[in-house]
Amino acid sequence: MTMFNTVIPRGWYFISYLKKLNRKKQIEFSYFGGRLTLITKTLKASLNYLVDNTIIRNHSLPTLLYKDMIFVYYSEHGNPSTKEEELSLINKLISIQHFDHRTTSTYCTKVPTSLFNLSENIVDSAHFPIVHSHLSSLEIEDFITEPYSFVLKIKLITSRILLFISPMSLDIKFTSMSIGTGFFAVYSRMIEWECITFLTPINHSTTQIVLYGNLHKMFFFPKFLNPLFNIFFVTTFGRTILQDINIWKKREITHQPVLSTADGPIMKFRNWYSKFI
Amino acid sequence: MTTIKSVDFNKIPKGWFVIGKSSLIKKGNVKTIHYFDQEFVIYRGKNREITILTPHCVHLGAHLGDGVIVNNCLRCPFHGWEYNSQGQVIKIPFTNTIPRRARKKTLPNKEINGFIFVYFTHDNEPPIPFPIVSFLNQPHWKYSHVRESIIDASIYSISENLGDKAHFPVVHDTFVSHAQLDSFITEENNNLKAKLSVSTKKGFCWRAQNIEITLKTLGGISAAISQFHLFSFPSTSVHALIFITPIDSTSLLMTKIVAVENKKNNFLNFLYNFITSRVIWQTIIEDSSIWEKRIVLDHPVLSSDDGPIIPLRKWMAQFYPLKK
Ligand code: FES
Ligand SMILES: [Fe+2]
Ligand SMILES: [Fe+2]
Repeated sequence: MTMFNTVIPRGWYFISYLKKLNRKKQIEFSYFGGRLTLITKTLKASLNYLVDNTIIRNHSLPTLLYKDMIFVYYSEHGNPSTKEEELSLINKLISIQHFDHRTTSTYCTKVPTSLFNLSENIVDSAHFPIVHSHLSSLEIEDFITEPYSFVLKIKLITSRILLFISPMSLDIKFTSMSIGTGFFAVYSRMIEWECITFLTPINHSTTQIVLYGNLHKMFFFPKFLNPLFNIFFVTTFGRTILQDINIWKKREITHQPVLSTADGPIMKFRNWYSKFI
Repeated sequence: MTTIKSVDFNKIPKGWFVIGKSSLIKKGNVKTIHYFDQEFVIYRGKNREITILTPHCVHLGAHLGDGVIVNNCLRCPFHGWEYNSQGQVIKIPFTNTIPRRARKKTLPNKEINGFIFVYFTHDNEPPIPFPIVSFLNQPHWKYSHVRESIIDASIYSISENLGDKAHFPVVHDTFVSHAQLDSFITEENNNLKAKLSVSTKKGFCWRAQNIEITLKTLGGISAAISQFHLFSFPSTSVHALIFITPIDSTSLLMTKIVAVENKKNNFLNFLYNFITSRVIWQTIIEDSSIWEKRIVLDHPVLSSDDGPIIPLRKWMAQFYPLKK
């Protein structure tokens, strides 16, 4: 259990948009506690760790290009077969029906916290009304775990201040889905908005967050306002994540937390997560 | 039974320790403090009562130092669980069922004469008796000089000073020409009493003098009070009280209080207080350079001129945790 904060879970992680990279070059990134080198033409990736300017470990990582996005498969111990995960990943991404990157708004930030803290946050329903006071409550209606993913059904009640457009608090239902530990998609039929979160560990205590939001229809509002609402939703969602940072910084992950009936499915989530570490 | 061999003198002993003046924590405030080689969270409720607990919430591990005071409870910043002064969770938002394991360890504490005392121990036995310092609230003593300083030393080194008469003419040669330990007894209530006479050099005062010092520990080895008469003319009686509180195994907080017999003359009170404080401070500075780098040997080689180092260790052993 204490491994949660110190081990980077194996799985597929988002690295970069291909179109942002110079196609002729070999590019270096800081990910997974080491240096990730990517040859953009061949999409060959290798990860090495430098100690006193000497490379102490160097191994290649499987890569995947999907809709202009480059993903790599990270695993602490070598490169296990990734076929199963690969298939599952692609299927899940496609199943988010409206996914279309041309109309999105993105938000990218690096946060000084572990991937685990960020991931557990979403099933930890009890902290929402305390830490994120713009939400008055979050109820988890269902939490289904599968070997490489989970589906979470959430009912969110916003406080009035969040949506200045609404005179009263709103009751929004979301379905969220994770694919491994590096992807997390939230979508709501009600406001026809979806947001994919890509979490990529820079090291065990720093994580990159890329939010990728897409809005189709916001109640009765005209379509040309969509980009505005979308930016608002994505940044609000991003800021919500940042509100927890101070708590995570000093948090101690305990072996056997004392849980109450008001808690979300923390242990079920931890069991699922520990399969990746 | 604890013996010298079975305990680890490099660890932190149990006892009542002063962690600061009452002003350290204001009503309704929460703070994180570092003592005894670990972190603690201290808060003062609306009823002015102080509670000291280990820092992480039993729920999902948030740091309670960022919590807030709700009435006399500490509310965790993460999910809002509220801890009372016994460390028991008494409220969880959105549920009435409180899990049985929802409690934290608290450290016993007392606030007396403007100082906060905390009981630290490794064992589960009841606390040793609380030290009673009689002079702090008696009108015929004037105490004005309270000084807090961080010293790089282990609590062991400072305590051993009590019986180590041989170091006086060497380390404190600026004013001590000779030191002699007249008696050394362990009393009940875990205390130790020693009588020491120190001959000062001529330059120290207008003439060489013999100062008789009665040293007594209070509530373990965390505090020692020394009583002596200073100056033959006009003579005054002095109490110096030193509290030592380990921050970790190599540094500690020293709170030094000097009280002089009330001369009913503010100038004289001030003068005696000032001089005594300076002398005591001087001895501490002289000792510090040794304390900083010394190590505690399991089998020191001792000579016939040494003070009662071994009996002292035997007495001190009762406060130390066993070797692992
Ligand atoms: S971590 Fe303290 S209430 Fe949840
Ligand atoms: Fe959160
Ligand atoms: Fe000394």
